[in-house]
Amino acid sequence: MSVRLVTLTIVGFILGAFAAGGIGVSVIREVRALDDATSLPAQNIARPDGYHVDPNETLISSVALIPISLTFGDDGLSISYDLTSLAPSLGIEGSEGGQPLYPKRWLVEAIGGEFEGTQTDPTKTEALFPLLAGGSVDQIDSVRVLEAFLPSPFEVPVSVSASEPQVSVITGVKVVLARTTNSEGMTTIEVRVLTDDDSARDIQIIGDGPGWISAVSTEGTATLTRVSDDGATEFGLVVSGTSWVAIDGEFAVNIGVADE
Amino acid sequence: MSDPNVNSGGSEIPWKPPVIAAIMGALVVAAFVIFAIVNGPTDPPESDSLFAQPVPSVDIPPGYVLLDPNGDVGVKVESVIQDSAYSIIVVSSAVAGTTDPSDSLSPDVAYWEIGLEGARVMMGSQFASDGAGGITTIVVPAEISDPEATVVAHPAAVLASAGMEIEVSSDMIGEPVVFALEVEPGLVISGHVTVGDGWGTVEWSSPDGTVATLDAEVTFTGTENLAADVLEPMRLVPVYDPSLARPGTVIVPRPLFGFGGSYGLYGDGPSLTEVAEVTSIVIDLNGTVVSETAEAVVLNPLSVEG
Repeated sequence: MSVRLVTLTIVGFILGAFAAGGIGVSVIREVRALDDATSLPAQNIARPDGYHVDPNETLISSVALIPISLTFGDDGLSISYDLTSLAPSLGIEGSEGGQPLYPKRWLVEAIGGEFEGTQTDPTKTEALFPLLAGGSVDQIDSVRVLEAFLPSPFEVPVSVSASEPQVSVITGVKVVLARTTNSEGMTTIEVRVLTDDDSARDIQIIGDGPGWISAVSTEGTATLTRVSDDGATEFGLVVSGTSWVAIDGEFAVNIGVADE
Repeated sequence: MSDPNVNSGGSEIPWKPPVIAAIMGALVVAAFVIFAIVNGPTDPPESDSLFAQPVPSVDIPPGYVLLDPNGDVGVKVESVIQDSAYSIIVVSSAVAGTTDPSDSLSPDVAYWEIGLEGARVMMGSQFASDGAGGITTIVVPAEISDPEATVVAHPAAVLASAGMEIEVSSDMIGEPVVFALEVEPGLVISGHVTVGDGWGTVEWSSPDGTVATLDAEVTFTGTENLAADVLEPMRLVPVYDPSLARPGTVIVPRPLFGFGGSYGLYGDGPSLTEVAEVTSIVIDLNGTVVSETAEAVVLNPLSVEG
């Protein structure tokens, strides 16, 4: 075999390898890109090792808002979500009192414009966009929470009397002295609680000062009894509960983790 | 017959070996390509990924300030609500996303102050509720109009705890029972407990500058078996006591550390209707005094809500 033939054989081998390599690299890139796209949900839903809240999840105050599903129906778009709090909770029991966050107003930017959504019940975890009927996730550019509230305990002393039966406790919460009954050294008063729809929860009224025995709260009405025959007409009360307090800012929601 | 290694144009180049070599080269590389596809990448793609890969971090969320440089809990002012006579400050707490919150304790803050230019305003009280996890509500007995005002937290640790039991006769019903609970030598929580027929009140204060808590419980001895199926004596506990929370009832905020306080005591069973049955009244008191453990922590300037 001549030197020329050997040289040509080597050149042929190299040319063939390069040609196949070029095609192969293209194939590998396509396969990898396809693999990334199809495996995104699984990678994002399963949090990385050591994470309680994934950095990709939306953090509002100390609460992660995690979209679970987006459903397009005749009534519009529904986004259901989970809430996971980063608030320290060692030793706290009986915290079934309610949600750690109330994301009340939402906005979806999609093909066709902007669509406001609301979450009208703080005990639920679903936002509704009635004007966004029909469509798909592909048409959604962004999702934001425009207005969010945190639960905050409150305890406010107030005073009610026959001449001034209604007093404001906090924004959205009032109490009204509805009835006073005196009998055999006992004074029983009936106090009604008036609240805006979602301004507060867990409201309890107790008597402030000596003589008050257990309060009984029933559907917005508290009946309190005071052991006394001093003929008092003005009554000190302590109203407590959990109110929703607005927090500053708008919050972009990562919907990459949700199922359609 | 012509030589197959020589083209018909008369060239002397032998084409067959180079062509076979080119095919062999392509096959070898193709084998590597197939191997790479089947086994996948050893490292995640860097620039081709559609979503940023999580970067492990032990940091607390943005905006939170660590209460203790060596601790894992941060705090942040979320809202300030202004009333005519007082201000309510809402503070949240958080651990890092890498930390399980159920492994961390809520932060202990001895007291809070409002930092103004050249002055500081002390809190009136602070409280929390299991129904609002990680949230502390601070009541400041002053109007805060300075937008540059800051919230200053003084981290705390328990210095000492102590309890005492006072037993008085039923003649003391309706009369204040004065107490002095020495928690540490020289540190005395003082006040009085008044107990009535099914009710009670507690008022207490700590020595100058000392931060404490005081829990009280009253037992009416002689009332065992007073009510059918009730073997325990009648008791009165603070309104925030978990024993008062029955299914479906509300969660009442509980006071945190303070310089003093007052609260009502309520029954956890049937009402006491026959005080004549009471042979004595036992008052159990438990006090805790805390001390500041670290430098005061300054939180973000306030954004006052009307």
